Amino acid sequence: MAAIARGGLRRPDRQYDHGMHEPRTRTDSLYFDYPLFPFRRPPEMELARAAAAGGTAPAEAALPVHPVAIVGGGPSGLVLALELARFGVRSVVLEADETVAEGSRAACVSRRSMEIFRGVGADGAFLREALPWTHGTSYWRDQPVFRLQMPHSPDERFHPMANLQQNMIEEVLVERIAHCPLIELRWQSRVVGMAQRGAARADSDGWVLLTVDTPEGEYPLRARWVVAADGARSGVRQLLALRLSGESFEGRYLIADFRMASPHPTERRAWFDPPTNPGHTVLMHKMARDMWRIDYQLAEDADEAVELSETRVRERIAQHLAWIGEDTPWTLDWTRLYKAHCLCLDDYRHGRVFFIGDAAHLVPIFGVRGMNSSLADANNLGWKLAAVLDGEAGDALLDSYTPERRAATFDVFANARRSTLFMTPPTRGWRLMRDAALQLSLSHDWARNFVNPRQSAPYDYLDSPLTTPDDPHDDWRCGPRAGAPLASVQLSPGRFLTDCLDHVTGFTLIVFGADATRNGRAAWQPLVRDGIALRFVERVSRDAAAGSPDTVADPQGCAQAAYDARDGDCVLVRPDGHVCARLRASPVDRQLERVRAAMRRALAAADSEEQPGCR
Amino acid sequence: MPLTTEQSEAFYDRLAEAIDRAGPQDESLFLAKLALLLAHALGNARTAEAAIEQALAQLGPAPPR
Repeated sequence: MAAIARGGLRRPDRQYDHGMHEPRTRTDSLYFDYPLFPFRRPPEMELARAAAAGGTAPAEAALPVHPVAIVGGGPSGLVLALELARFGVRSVVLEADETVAEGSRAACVSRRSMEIFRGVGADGAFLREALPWTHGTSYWRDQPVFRLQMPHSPDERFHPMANLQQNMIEEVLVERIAHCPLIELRWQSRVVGMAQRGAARADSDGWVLLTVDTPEGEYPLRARWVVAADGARSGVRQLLALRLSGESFEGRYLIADFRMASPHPTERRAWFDPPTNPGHTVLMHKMARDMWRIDYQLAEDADEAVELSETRVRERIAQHLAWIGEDTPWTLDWTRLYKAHCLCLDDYRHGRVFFIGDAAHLVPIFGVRGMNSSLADANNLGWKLAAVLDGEAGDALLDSYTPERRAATFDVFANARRSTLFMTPPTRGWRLMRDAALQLSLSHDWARNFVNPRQSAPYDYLDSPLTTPDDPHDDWRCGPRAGAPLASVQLSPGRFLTDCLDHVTGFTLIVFGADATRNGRAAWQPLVRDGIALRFVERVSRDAAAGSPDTVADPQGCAQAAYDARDGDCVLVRPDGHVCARLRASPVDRQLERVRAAMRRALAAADSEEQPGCR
Repeated sequence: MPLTTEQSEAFYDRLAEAIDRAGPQDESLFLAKLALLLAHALGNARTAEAAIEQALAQLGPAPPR
């Protein structure tokens, strides 16, 4: 085995899947060739060799400074690197392993995550193999008790959910990164030491010194900012001696991937108390390449060693498939144990170190919020780091990362906790009420709500200090609230309002019907000098808008209707696609000032700039 | 509007008979379903939650002096 020091990060409970990369050797898979990524000697090591040849150690100050070092090459770390690159920021990703994550793991990609993938130019690659879905069925024994129907309409570019195994997700992102000169992905590189130097504020000349262990030994790496994306048992979290707090649940699940060429449609199926798992729960999902995923709860007194044996797993899957009438032949590929947690750090920022994904929070899998909330972390942090590195914002913007994403974590906890208690009732009381709700749901519509699996939904930064709240006098009847992601509207076949954010690298101002207002478009141009991209939504045909990149053709007025917008109304969108202000029309000079104030606020610069220097 | 004494007594009788019909195996499940149905029909979260606390009070044998 390579000289990678792995022992120190292991813990006795390592057989549980908390969503992280388990150090592992390559396995044979029925459907996926795990690529082997070589270790390549980095410039830092060459510097050290040159210095050693001259009889000296390399000076820390002589090391190159990476603007951002991302520790961990899972979905959140890879997406963060792509987000930074989109804003022109270089990063280095340090991944301990030599290949992508093993098995299906986080296999459900939410619509919001697909929008994030589109933002970094990777949505097309996902859609090639992902299986989109919109509905699901929950059974109590063999009776359907709940039909899950996720919101979907022709206004949406993406389905509410799409299934793709995590190894395939990571492979798509790695391939995308290979075409991105701003990202350096270093495999077989484990961070084993860390020291913060100088002040931790954005306006000071501090840095972080990492010690990276590789098959060829250790080397020092200097970075302005470090992002820990190294999973549930984050090594960075341990180096900083930080602890997660919250609650853990007792219920254990066995997760298995198997290949089965069944024509059954892609949907979420859940069984409560089926004869194949009496008193417990089973979940099934179809995935790409004829792969299926089954999650079944283990009995309280089950022996893990017995349950994990291949014979036992095969026997249990066979029983369940026979009971649901599935007679397609199948082959087992991968198994794993899982336990649910609602745990997070008190602060997602520690000086020059940020935590994203499972390194910051562990959430139950029920409702598919693990990877999806991790990608939202990367989406939130990327533009903030870029704005600070570019000198467009100060340290206060970085301080907004924790309140925005920790609020999202607690929203996830509230929903996922409820799902977990329903899926795996921990006590007699919870079980009795669960069974009562299931039985009532056979005959009472209102009781079916108890069975709703509460699938992942995007979090709106309504109470964020960066959000300019909707003015209650403005009386918006629909459209995204300030803090919500920009809502999708289909403007003409295959063209969506959210497309106007493609390739943007900063704030975007959407102006409805500017040509119809007294001042026309010219009056808005000063905002371009403030770094705001202008998008004019006009009732013109696609052909009429063809030559004008800042015109969004809305021939039927669909966007204006969906946003309850009148001529001259504006929506200001942050670089991460969230609306930070929506403003009813006002005289254009005043409107420009309101837009600028909202942008200052969204850059956390409002306080310093709005305090008058002298009176 | 509270039940009349007559209505309360009739409900008391029906409930006693229903617990016997459910049997020892299912009486808890039956009572849990009943509570959810009644709370839904009541349409008043505060009253429903107060009823939980009132029913929990003084359960079991009296505490030792």
